[in-house]
Amino acid sequence: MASADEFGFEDEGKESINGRMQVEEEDTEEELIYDEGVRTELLAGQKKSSSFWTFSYYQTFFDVDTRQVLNRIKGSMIPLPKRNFVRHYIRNKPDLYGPFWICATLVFAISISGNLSNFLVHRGESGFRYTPEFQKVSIAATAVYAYAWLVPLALWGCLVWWHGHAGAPAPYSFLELVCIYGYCLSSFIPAALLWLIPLEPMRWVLLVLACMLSGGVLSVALWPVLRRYGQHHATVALAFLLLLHICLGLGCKLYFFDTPQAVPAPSLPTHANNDTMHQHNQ
Amino acid sequence: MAANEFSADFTDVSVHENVPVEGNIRISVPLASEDEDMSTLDEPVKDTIMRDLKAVGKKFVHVLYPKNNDELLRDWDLWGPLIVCVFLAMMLQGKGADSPTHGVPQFAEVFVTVWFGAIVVTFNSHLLGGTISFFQSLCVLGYCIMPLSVSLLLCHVTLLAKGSLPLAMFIVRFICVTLAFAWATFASTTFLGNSQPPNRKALAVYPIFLFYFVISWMIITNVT
Repeated sequence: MASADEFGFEDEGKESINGRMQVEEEDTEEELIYDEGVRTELLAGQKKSSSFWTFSYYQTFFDVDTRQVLNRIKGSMIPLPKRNFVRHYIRNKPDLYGPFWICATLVFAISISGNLSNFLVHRGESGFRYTPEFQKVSIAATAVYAYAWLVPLALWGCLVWWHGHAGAPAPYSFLELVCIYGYCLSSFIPAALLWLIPLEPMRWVLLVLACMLSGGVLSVALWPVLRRYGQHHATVALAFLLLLHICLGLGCKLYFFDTPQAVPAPSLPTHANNDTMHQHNQ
Repeated sequence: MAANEFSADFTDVSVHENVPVEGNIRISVPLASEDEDMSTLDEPVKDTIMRDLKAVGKKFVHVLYPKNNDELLRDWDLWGPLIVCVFLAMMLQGKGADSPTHGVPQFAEVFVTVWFGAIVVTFNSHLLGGTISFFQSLCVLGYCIMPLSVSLLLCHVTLLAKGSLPLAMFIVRFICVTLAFAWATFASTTFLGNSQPPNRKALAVYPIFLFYFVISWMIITNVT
């Protein structure tokens, strides 16, 4: 099978379809599934066959209204078992607006909220000079954008490779995976803003809540696809993806938000850790 | 002496003397006046600079009183955004990696943030189906940063009063920057808002809001 080229209707793909239909005439069921897969692929991909290098090609991914974007954000925050985010909300019309701007908002929410909360936590200390810690913006941006765009790329690559063995295109296109991951991160934005309040138990509760909501949506969307590879493999894969997700939330919380220390307490091991973390951050 | 041979078919007519040719070929009709106006090559440099400066200044005035007129869009230029950005970056920059101003953005960071942010916001509104061209949108976004630069100046003035009433000074700075942020967002949406279809206006305005919010954040955290 020609490689699942989702970025244009290339002639070599059509030729290979014709070739297959001539050779395997008895496999009508497989053909049907393959044709359906091709049709889904064609529909799931781009409506217009603009070239990859033109501006109008990318305009098809911004063909959303305000209400649609808000609906998708709402759907990504509330995991319901029956509502697969991709099938219910994306519906073969993935967009790049949501993932890109949600990531941008998250980056600045984390940086600004972290900077403010560090200021509130360390305000009374002697020798504390307030700095805006602008370098953390680039660190946050790298982390968030790498997670939201490279993990879907890797996952899509794996799906294409696995499905390639079965002779069908991947069930989700790359853009749909980017949409899932991008919109899922919207649960972290209110959490990041609320992490401003320097109460440690509340922060942990918020982290767990955000991870559960976004992880839930992610699982509901990805489980039907992963399940095709057998229960065992699917469980391991999904667990790994959720672990990455939790690592992102945990990393953001620990790196950008210093733990509030108890006012002059005797030296405990946790305080020593906090001090080193504080110096490391400065 | 010239041989005055003259044949009926004029084939052998020739003049063997050197006859000086002189005359006046200047056209008496004057040139069309538009050509002379368009040729700004001969004007004094001062005129050129003053004309461009006046255009830039007029656009700044338009930003101060944002009404929905087309002039900012029609005669776009990028001088104003450059002036504003360089001013912002110079005022906001820190001294170096080892100085006490460690976390403060450097000149290049501010410059890149402003220009890259403006370009991304412009691309976004273009991709959503906006009708303004790329440079017009950059022009508007850059000019509308002007209220924030003014607030940065005011913040510096309040910071000169070091140590006295820090909380009151902070509140003054905060109000200043908030007002400037609201002004900048309002001005840019006045100019850019009508270019989007109405069901996507919020999608186009939100990145502009985020852009000015980040710049306001950089201004208000500038306490050195």
